[in-house]
Amino acid sequence: MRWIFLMMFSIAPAFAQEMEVQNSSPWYVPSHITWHSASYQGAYTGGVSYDVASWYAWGLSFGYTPHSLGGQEILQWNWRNQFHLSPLWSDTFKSGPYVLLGMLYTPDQDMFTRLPNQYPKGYYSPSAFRYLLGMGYEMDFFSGFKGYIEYVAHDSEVIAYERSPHRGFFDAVGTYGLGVKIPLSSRFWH
Amino acid sequence: MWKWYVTIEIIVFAVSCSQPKFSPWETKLPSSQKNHTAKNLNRLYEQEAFLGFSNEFTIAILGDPQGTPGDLKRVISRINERTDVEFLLVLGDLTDYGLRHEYQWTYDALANSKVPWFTAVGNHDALAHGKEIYQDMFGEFDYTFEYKGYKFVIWNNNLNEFGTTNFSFLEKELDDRSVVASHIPMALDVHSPDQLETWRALYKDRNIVTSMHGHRGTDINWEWEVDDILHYVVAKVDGVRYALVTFRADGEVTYTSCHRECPEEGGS
Repeated sequence: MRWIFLMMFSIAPAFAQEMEVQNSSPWYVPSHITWHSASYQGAYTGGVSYDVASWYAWGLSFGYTPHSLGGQEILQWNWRNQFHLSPLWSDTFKSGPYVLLGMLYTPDQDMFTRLPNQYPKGYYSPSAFRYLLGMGYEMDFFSGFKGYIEYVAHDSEVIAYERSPHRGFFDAVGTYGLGVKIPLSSRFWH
Repeated sequence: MWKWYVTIEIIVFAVSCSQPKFSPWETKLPSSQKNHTAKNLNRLYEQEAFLGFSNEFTIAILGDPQGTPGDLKRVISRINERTDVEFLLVLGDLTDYGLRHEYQWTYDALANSKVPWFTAVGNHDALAHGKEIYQDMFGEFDYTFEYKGYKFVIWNNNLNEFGTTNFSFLEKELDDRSVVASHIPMALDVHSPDQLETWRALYKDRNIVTSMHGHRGTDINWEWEVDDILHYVVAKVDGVRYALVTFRADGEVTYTSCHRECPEEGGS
């Protein structure tokens, strides 16, 4: 899998296209509604995203993984931060690679957000949260309608990878996901 | 048009490469990764029948492989180079956060072992949905098996994560052939002084052979005696650490700590 993303990064400038739309909506009006699957953010995930700048967008989504896919029904909230790299080489590029930082939260009753009383301070980190690090490629197909594919790992994978001197298990780290962003601007719909 | 083509190509390639992971909190396991305590017991009994009875043998014990799956693989490779180790015991904390992928890393490493392997559940293994995954992947938390005249008693004593320590299991199972393996050592840590006294009295009353543990998660091995019963805490596998336990014909048990290098077979 890692070769896919290395390849995507290496050819990114060739696939970049010119920026056409700037988000002029107030901050509380989402730029897009999103539909996503996998990359640890749920099998069926919907939400909103906000294009804050040419280099940055954030999104909030709710993910659902049914028992048949996850071994149990999993509900989770996902907070995504996409840092677009295209502006590093041009401020007119619209499609291109990005780095993803995210946080996941599950309201599962078997997890905790605050350490239960029986443990000394700092004994465990909150099990209801996980943190994502990833990279992906977002493509603007037309009028702000976007699709992306990404490869992400979460904190426990990154830490274990970093602590493992020979890193022979890299192929077992991380996973991919796909998503689309449907613009809420009137320009797209009319 | 080319953009659609490239995107579809990437998606098809990605999907064909590996299975997607939908959530960090997934618990579903493929059937090949289930029920490994029972599978390894079958392997062990076949091995015992093949090797014939001998009351002198060696096993390897490993502690706390959580967060260092690469080192666990290396330890398994080192042990595979030996012919004197008859089975492995991993003394808990197979995972840091009780997550499925961590269990799978541990399984992937252990699956390379040439000899049967068994696990005790650790406190970290019980986090998140770890209890469910542990039971699915391995089996019961408390179990026993017999090998070459000894009774191995694998005991879940993670008090805080399970809400209780099942001393009645020890009371029922212990005898003077018992080798106890659990994650938490008999030390003032998670158990109260009263619980430690109950535990100690059981060992003394049944005159068990030895007691082995993990949990400390450091690079130091501890060995001490309580009521003439030898206790041992194995170091974390980090940096390729493990220990050999030799059960000698005269009934003596010796522990040998290994850090990358280990004594030659037949030595001590």
